[in-house]
Amino acid sequence: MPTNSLYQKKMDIRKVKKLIELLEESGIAELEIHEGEESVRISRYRALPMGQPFLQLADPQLPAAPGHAVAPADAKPKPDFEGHSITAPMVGTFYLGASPTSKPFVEMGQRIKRGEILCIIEAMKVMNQIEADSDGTIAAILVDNGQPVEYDQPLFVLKRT
Amino acid sequence: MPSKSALLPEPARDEQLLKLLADGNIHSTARVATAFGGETPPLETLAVLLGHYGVEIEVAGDDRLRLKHPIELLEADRIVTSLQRSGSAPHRIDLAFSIDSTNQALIKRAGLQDAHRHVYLAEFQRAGRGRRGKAWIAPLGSGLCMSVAWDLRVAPEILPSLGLTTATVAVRVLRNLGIDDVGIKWPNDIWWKNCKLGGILVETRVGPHNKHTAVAGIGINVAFPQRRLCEIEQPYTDIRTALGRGVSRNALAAALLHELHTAFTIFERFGFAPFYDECRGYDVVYRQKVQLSWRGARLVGRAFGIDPSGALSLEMEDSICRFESGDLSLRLAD
Repeated sequence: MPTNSLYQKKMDIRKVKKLIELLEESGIAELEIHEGEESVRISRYRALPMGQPFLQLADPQLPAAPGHAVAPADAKPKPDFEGHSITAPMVGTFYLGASPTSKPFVEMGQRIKRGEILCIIEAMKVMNQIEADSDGTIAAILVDNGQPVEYDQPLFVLKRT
Repeated sequence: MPSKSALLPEPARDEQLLKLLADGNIHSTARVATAFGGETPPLETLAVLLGHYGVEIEVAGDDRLRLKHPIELLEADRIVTSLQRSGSAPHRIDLAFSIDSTNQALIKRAGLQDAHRHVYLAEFQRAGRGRRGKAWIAPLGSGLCMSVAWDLRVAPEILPSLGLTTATVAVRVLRNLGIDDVGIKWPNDIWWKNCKLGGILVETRVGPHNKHTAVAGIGINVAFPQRRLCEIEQPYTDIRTALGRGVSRNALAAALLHELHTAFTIFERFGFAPFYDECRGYDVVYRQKVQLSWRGARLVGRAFGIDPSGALSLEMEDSICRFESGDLSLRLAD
């Protein structure tokens, strides 16, 4: 049962740095990135207890990863960024394109209109196409193709243009 | 027109041709000339052309032929008429002779305009695919291929259970026809005696403020030529086998649309709950030994039923886990 940790694996440090910057800017409380078998979770509030699995790879009965619920009241993120995150409206598997061979619905930096499809979340073979809730530019794609997402997990950062 | 036996499919012409031949009676090639601008096509041209649609012909003497299996073509008017009486007629019904995917057509429409209660039916779906990527075609007229679009104002997290809701309704209709053992293989297959009788594909457009459009696609094998059933690398069956007689595709479409109309109206207000007990009663894998392909892992266990959210529980060595996704296959007793 793989237990991934930022310190054990060789996730590109520049990428992690960029993610931290992104978190700083965006007002998101926490973000989690999966890449193949590796994953990293960055939280504004507190470090994840050591040894906690980030990824429920082969152990689905585990409760949802901790760190979600408890946030100190004095550490509210400042909503100073003109972008906002688009979160998962349901639990499922995240797909950037309509099929493994088709090109992604959106790419970084792309301007999109309200109502455009951003991604698919599949659950129980139901393919849910997620629409953008406003116009904007894709400032970040926070989840890799094919990764599981939890309810309310941030998927994209949309910068209003 | 080319006299060689190589005509490419051309939906409008081929639909006309099929209409002339559909009854299964013996016809002369001269009879179908109207579909070819008045020129009588050679028999082999017709054989090759109809082969594109999986339709076989029998030669019945010089320049005479008949379809090996008569085809009941779909008629939108008939379907609408039988639904009007119950007040569940669709707002719009489209009938394509040949299409890649009825779901795709409707989900695309839903992004552009109001698609609520629109229905798409196809005689022939081009994008059929068998297991391991092996291409195969469901012969024209051998099955029912239908999609329904429905606007739903619901919390988005319940949308995944719409697949099981649709499957439940489809199984109910098939049981009403008299196919007693038909059930659901979680999450979206319709099974009869360990064979696939049909499948459900639900796609949704999830918008802000709980405003969504769902497209529920239903495919049911009605009457496959036996030889074709053997070509598919999956245990397939059809209504004719399960029931011992054929059914009208138009009547089946109307029965499904009627039940779906009611079901979607209930789903919008109460979610999956009103369908849950019925759905569990149709669960064909309950307590069976199964294998679940899940995120690259193969998990073996005993199916422990569907939970109120629609997820599948699997009893493994010393734990019971629930899954919202995965491909389920039945394991032979070992």
